[in-house]
Amino acid sequence: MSKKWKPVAVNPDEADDFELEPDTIEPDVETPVQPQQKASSTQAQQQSQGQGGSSSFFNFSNFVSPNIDLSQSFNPLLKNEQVREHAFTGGDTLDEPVWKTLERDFKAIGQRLLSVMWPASLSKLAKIQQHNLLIAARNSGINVGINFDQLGQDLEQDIANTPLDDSDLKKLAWDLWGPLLFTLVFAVILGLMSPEANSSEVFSGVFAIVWSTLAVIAVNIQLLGGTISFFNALSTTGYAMFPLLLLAITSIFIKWSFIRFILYVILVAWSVYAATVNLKVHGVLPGRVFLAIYPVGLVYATLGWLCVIT
Amino acid sequence: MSKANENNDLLDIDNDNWLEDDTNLSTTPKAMTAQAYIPPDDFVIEPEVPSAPQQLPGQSSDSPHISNNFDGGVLSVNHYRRYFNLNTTEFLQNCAQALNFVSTKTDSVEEIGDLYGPIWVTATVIFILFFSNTCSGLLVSWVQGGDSTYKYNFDLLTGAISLLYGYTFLIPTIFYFITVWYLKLTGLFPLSRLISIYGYANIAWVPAAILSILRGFLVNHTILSSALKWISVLFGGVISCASILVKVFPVTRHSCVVVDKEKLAIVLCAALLVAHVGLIIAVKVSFFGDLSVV
Repeated sequence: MSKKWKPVAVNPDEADDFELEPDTIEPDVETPVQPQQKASSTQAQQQSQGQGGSSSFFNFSNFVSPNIDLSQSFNPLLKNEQVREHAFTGGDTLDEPVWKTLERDFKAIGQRLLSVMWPASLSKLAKIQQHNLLIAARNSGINVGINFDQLGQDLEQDIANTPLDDSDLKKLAWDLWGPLLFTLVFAVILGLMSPEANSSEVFSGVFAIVWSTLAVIAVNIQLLGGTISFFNALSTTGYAMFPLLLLAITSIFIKWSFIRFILYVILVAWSVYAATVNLKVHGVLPGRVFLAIYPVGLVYATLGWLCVIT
Repeated sequence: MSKANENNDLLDIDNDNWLEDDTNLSTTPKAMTAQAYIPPDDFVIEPEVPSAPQQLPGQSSDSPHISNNFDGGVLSVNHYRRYFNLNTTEFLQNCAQALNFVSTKTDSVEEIGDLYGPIWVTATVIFILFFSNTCSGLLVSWVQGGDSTYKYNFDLLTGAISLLYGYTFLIPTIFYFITVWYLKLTGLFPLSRLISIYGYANIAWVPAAILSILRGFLVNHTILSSALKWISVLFGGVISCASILVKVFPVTRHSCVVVDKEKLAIVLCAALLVAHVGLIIAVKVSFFGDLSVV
């Protein structure tokens, strides 16, 4: 490149006024700014490649680690989604024995089972969750048909008097092992009790019906709103099926339909109560708990009725 | 950050003397770095959401945020939340209104109704029809004595599902397409509202089905048993029919009068009536024996 050539001095801010100067009028005085700028820009590039320079005209590090809060720009995408942070419960699980991992999983399943067997253990947590959801519903203007002012005061006092411990929050996680096991055993029992000819048919039919109705229930809960996720609803309603499993097991031994019927009423009521408390904990909106639990009760009643009449 | 706060930030920037205003010093630099530079004139300010009240003192700040808008495409769950946007008291009111077929109170025509009722009220009816059928079967085998075990009929369940859901969703859809697309009437219910009316009307079958459980005791009295069957079927059928027509007829008549075809409304509602008689006959045949009077 010849030394005579000089870049045209263009201020990007005045781009509107840009005009090509005729070639004949060539400035003969060297402007000292241009080489300096050129040098500094190359320097900046070198700097940013080498050590990620911090202060220069063209700061590359702005692109490497932008000083922009990205959560803002994702907002339109996440507007309808609930992002729930999950508490990290375990320590370093990479080099622990397999038995320990299994033990932890079994403990979690057992705990969830316990919350179905004794739903009252969750009642305090349910109260707090419902209170939070009530506030959330009020803040986002969802009509849940409850007078907000009445509930607030005594609930807050209750919560202040009895603080929550960590072990309660662990019950908020979900898994599908319990539902899978329960539906399998339930379908096997019903299949064995039905006549030989169509026992495999009954097994597959019951298994498919249970899972599809649980899925429909979970979609229904999703449609009613709240912070509960699809699989969480599936897990909750699946675990609450446990009393129905007891009904199926007892119906192997008890052939008299009248006693079966009495057991049916008791155990279905128990299932529905357990499901109610668990769904409240997992985030169904307060004024819609009945709407969420009603189909659940219907399905439990149908499944239990199948145990009574076979 | 909640939606209300977001809007407030935007509004603050819109303020005319936002450069001089000391209170905005904390918000404006963030806004400048977070997005490309846009001159303040070009800011599009969304209207403030009126339904979001201010945070009251003493409430926990970590409460979950739940969206209350039903945007999203046809394939997203959120789109359909508008049809499930009801609470328990509204649901029970709707049920009571469906049974109350003499009331002249009418909601506005534009209301979209809800699909919770059609789906779950119909599911209830199916369950109770199945329940009453098998229960009376059990009672029969119990009254007749012996250990003849009762065998339930699984086809009954699938039959009930296709019959009742088919009626509840197909008839309103056909009616809607005929009136709105073929006859081009205006001022009618939206389709979801029609389905809602039909679904809630099904609730009349519940007491009928429960009543019919008693027929298990009447197995030895043919006349009484058949009378009970007819009474329960007609009870459910007539009440649900009245509940539908009381709501649909005035609106249909009004939109027909507008185009000077008053007789058309009667024809349309007569067609609905015929369809309902068909449902009554189908229920009688599949759940309550045959059509024989005695």
